[in-house]
Amino acid sequence: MKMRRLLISGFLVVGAVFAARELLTEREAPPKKRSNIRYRFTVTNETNRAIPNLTVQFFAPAKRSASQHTEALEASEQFSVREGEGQNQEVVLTTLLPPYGTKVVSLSATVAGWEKPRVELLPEPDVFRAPERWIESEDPSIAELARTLKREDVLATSVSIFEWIAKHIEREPLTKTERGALHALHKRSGDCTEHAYLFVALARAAGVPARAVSGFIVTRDQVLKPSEYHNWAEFHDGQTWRIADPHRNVFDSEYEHYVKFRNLGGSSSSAFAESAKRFSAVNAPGVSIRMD
Amino acid sequence: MHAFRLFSVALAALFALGLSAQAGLAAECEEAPPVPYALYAKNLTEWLKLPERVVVDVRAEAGHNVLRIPGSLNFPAFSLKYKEYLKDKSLLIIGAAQQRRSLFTVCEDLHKRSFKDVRVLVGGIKAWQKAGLDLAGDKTTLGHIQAISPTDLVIEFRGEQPRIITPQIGETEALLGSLGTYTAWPDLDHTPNIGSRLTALVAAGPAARPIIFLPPDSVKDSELESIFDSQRLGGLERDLFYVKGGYSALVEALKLNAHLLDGLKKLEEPKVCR
Repeated sequence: MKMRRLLISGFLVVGAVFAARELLTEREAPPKKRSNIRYRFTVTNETNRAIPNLTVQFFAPAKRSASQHTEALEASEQFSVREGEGQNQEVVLTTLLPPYGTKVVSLSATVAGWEKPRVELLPEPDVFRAPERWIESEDPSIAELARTLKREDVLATSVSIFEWIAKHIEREPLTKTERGALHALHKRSGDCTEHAYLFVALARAAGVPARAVSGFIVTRDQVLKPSEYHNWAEFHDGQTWRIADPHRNVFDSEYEHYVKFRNLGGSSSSAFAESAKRFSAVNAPGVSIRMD
Repeated sequence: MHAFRLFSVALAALFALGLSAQAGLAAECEEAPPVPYALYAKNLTEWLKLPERVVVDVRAEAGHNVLRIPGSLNFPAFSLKYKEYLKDKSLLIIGAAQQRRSLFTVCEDLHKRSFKDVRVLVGGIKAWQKAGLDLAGDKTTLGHIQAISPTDLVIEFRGEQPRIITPQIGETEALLGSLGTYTAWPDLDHTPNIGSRLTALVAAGPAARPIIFLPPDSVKDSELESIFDSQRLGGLERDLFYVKGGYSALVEALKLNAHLLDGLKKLEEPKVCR
């Protein structure tokens, strides 16, 4: 009888400990949604020679960010994943292309998206405050505007910059050439890329760490089109990166729809990114890649 | 005997139920705020302890640049409903004197759109200032003139002892006197620099005493901008309000709403529940 009582109380204690552990450990909130995305490239050999060991790289959705986690990555060919700087990652595949031959490579990914960004501290080194190519945060006209838009804290500063851009910069459809923040400020117009760069430049000039980001807006399981390519900006509030997209008039919301492919700031200095045409790169002359 | 005991127990239970219901009613009555969505200056310290709080300034951009609550956001009241990122925050709306009552309607709308917690600071930026809290902004360009409706004047500046300045001297001085201090300034529109003189005039009273200009019936609202241009107002360290519709409009409003002051006084008194 005594033994039985002891056994029961033992079970109870163990149960209580487990229950307490369950309650006390902070579990990560589940993602709001999972999107399956597919995209396709056509690789063309424009020369009359066969290319035996052609290495092609395609950008993939960022592995892990404040509001995103790429859970699965697949391709129609055998591939390897190369992790780039920061959160960037690339699908690398080696193939053979006959003279004038073409190859269609399709990629697919499962991306989990969170509704709110999780904590992500500012990465080291902090390169998100200095001017860069296309982000002329030290230019007098940008610095002067930033001075008038600067407020007492990060949120208020970001909102005032965001509102100013949304109100004063005209929205153009996507263009291929990059023109940068200063161009957008002087012409009072630009596509999503210029909107993002101008936000980043003004934020940096006002002392808020910020970076430009590229990717796609994904609202359902879909095939990505090159025309849907989008750039937006992120600023760091001390806790995490938050979205500011003046071109689509979205501020600190819709995180689950923003599928990030690359962080443009800081890591864009790498030779690969410099040579990259939007979302792919190749190591041989006479080979072209087109996103379908 | 048994039946009697059962009956008395039931009676006691009923009595207890009645008592608790009354107590609940009393508690509800004490907690009910006088005006929904209103936050009074005396509750500001409590509000400032909230974790995710944002001050939203819905006044015009110019006013916000001149004088603002540190870290406050600035956009028009109508656009608030599109700001998804503010849905989960505790919002405190700061409006201009003439828009404050319409802001309660905005709050109602936001509440319907599942904004978590929206309130309007009664008294606006002045209430913040009076509570001794920090302000920011480029004050060098201070000295604006803005319109206020007679009814709003009675409600907003009640108890603030406004200094009412008017060139028109009427018979209803006593009625105006119930609102604040009344000064007749017949040659105001001929005085070269009124800014510093106005500042000197109100310096004697409470710190944030509002200055109200009551135009005589002969002066149209459209002419006021030229009378109070920025040069003449230079040196004035606060906003100047003028009463829309002028002298007779205010007198009319005061006559019609004489009982309003009493009503408002009653509102401030603690509610007694029976």
